[in-house]
Order: sequence, then C-alpha cells, then structure tokens
Amino acid sequence: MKRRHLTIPLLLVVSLLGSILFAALLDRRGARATTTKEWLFLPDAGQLKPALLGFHGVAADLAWIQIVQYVGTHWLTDRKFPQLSKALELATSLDPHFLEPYRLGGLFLLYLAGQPQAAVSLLEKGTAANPDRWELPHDLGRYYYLEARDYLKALRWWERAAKLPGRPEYLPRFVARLYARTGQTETALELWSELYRTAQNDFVRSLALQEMNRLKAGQVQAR
Amino acid sequence: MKVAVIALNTFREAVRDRILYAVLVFALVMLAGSTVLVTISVGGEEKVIKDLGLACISIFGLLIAIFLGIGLVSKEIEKRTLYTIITKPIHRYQFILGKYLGLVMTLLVNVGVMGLGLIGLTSFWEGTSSPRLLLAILFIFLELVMVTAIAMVFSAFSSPALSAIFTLCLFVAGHLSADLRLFAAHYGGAATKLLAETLYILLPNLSRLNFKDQAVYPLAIDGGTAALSFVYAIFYAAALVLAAVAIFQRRDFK
Repeated sequence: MKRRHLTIPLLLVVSLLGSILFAALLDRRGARATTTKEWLFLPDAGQLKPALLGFHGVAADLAWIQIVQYVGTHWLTDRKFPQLSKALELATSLDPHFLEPYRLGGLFLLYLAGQPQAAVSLLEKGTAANPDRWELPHDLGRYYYLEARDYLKALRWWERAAKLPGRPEYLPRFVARLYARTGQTETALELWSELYRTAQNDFVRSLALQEMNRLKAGQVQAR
Repeated sequence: MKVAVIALNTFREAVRDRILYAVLVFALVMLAGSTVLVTISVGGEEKVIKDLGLACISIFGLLIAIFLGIGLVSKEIEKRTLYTIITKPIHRYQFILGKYLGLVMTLLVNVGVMGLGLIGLTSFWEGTSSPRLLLAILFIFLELVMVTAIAMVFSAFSSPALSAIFTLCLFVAGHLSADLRLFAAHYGGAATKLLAETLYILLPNLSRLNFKDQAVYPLAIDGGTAALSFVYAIFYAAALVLAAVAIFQRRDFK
C-alpha cells in the first residue's frame, strides 16, 4: 500500500527532473542555432501586411525591437550588419508613420553599418510618407551638412524642415548661416549638442559626445 | 420589456462565468506587461504601449465575443432551458434580440474595463491620454459587436465548435475583403472580378473599423468616414441579428 503511495510522487520527481534536463539540452542546441540562422528570411512587407489583419502597428513595433537587439548583438560581436537595411525597410513599410526606425535606423546605417546611401534612402522614404514631420528632413540636412558636406542639399532639407510645425528654434538660424556660408563648426557643434540633449539612449549620446569632442579638438588645433 | 429582461439575464449569466474573468485578468496582465517590452525598445515607447494595448483589447475582446456568441443557442439547448422558454408567451425574435443585447452589454463592460486599463497606463506613461484612443476603442467595440452577431448566426444552426471556426474564418475574411477586391481588379478576369465584388459586398469589411493608426499618430481623422463606418457596423450587425432570428424561427425544437 505504501509503495503505491510512493510511485506517483517518485514518477513526478523523475518527470520534472527529466523535463529540466531536456530543456537545458534544447537550450544549448537552440543557442547554437540562433547565432547561425538569424533572419534567414525577411518577408516582403507588401505581402505580409494584409495577413496581419490590421495589427501591422504591433508587428512594426516587434520588428523594431528585434532590430535594436540585432544591432546591439552585432555591435558587441562581429560589427557587421548585413540585414539591417532590409529589416529597417520591413519595419518602415509595415508602419510608415513610425519615426524611430527612420531616425535611429538612419544613424545605425550611417555610423555603425557604414551605409550612407541606405541611410539617405530610408530617410527620404520617411520624408515622403510623413510630409508634415520636421524630424526627417532635419536629419537629412544633418547628414548632408556633417557627413556629405554638401551644403546646398543641407540647405534645401533644412529649409523644408524649418517650415514645418514643431521644428526646433535653431533651424532658421542654421538656414541663415548656410546662406551666409559662415560658422560651420559652430553649426556642427550646435547640431551634435542638440542631438546629445534630446537623445533618449546611450548609443546616440555617446556618438554625439564623441563628435563634439572631435570638433572641439579641431577648433583648438586651428587656433 | 421582455427583450430587456432576457438581455439583463444574459448579462448576469455571462458576468458570472469564471472563464470570462480569467480572460479579462489575462488581458489586463498583458496590458501591464507591455511596459516590460518597452524597456528593450529604443524610442517610440508610447507608441509600443498604445499598439500593444489596442491589440490586447482587440484579441481578447475577440476571444470573449466568440466564446459568448457561439454558446447562445447551444447552451440553452444543452441545459434544456430553451424548451421552457419557448413554451412561454415570448416571440423567438424577442429571445434572440434579448440574448444578443445581453452579450453586447457584457462586451461593453469588458472592453470598457480593458480600455480604462489602457487609458490609465498611457496616462501614467505620458502624463496625459488622447481622446483618439477612445475613438479606436469605440471602433474595436463595434467590430466585436459585429463578430458577436456573426457568431450568433452560426450558433443558431450549428454546434459551438463549428460556430467558433466559422466565426474566426469570417473575422479573417472580413479583414482581407478589401485586399481580395484589389487582387481581383489587378489579376482576375471578368468572372473573378464579379465574384470578388460580390464577396466584398457580402463579407463584413472589418478593416473599415480600424482606427488604431489614428490613435497612435496625430493623423487627420475624417469625421464623415468615422460616422459612416459607425453606421455601417450598426446596419451590418442588425442584418446579422435578423438573419439569426430568421434561422431560429425556422428551427424545430420538438
């Protein structure tokens, strides 16, 4: 009688231990699989969107969270981002009004992946989808000013951004300086310090700080 | 008066159901859980909370609507309460209408609780809550009103399991009907176009009731479109309730 009472608890303990053991074994296999089979297939947003039954906003959020994890993981390991551009394309096509994938994605493409053309295309796509938002022409202007050094194009984008509601108060000043072709280092410093002030994450803050230090060192050398 | 009594009884019966509370608690936990997801995102935190919150209300509301709608007639037959009711001086249409209104009241309370949870969460996160969120929640409720009516039609002649499957299929088709029409217009012949057009008119167009983007972004809301969508949902649900009444009146319960 006692034996029968003990059988079930014993089997229960064995089953529990077995499940923990096999779960651990699976985890090990899973960890190996994820590093090699990451994003083998990114679906086309045009085909995926109807299948989401109106939940495309949530899908874009989840895609964006995945992109952030992807960037973080690769930044800490191989510093290669072969699928970043395609993943950002997917997130922005699922939700064309979601600004973060354009703005931060543009920074990731430009400063981490070294793909300026992809960054420009992404920001231009965002500008076309959100013609009333100042942020995207502003970022395009910043790229042309700081990186491409194409001041005419920078002027064109900043002029556009300066006309939109909610734009920062410094934008008309930048436009004026560009027309006068003066104060380029001051403008660059102001741009980076504004980015540093408004940044909500460490990546953007450290990038802005690094660029500000570089510009200040250049100013000292020039004197 | 009889309709109101049946509606109130249906509402009381539904709110006593423990499964309903389980779904509601799970939905509220999921809503609160969205704040955890926000911590691993970079930027767009308010958007993630709103998107996930509205999706939670929509999905859990759908579960509740299907779960309640499919049991409408079959439960009464199973419990043999229907045989007592139909011997009373109550018209069958009064029974169906009362049952439906009771389910709609239950949905209203559930969506209301989940909606208040989301508004509370966004107010806590942003310090304020936009009335646009209320509009999106209202249209989710209207979508669920339509889904309940679909489930009720199937429940009037089919088993609960089949009713649930049919309702889910129509929910999916209802979100794809506009795409079906677009697809036929691009690739189909004359017959396909006609079929797609007919299906487009007959199937519920649930994508018309999706105002989630407008709740998340400061996009322009066309008052006329919103009003027409509202009226469309009411008329479609009314047509489905009448169809359920017609089927129920023809059923032989001897």
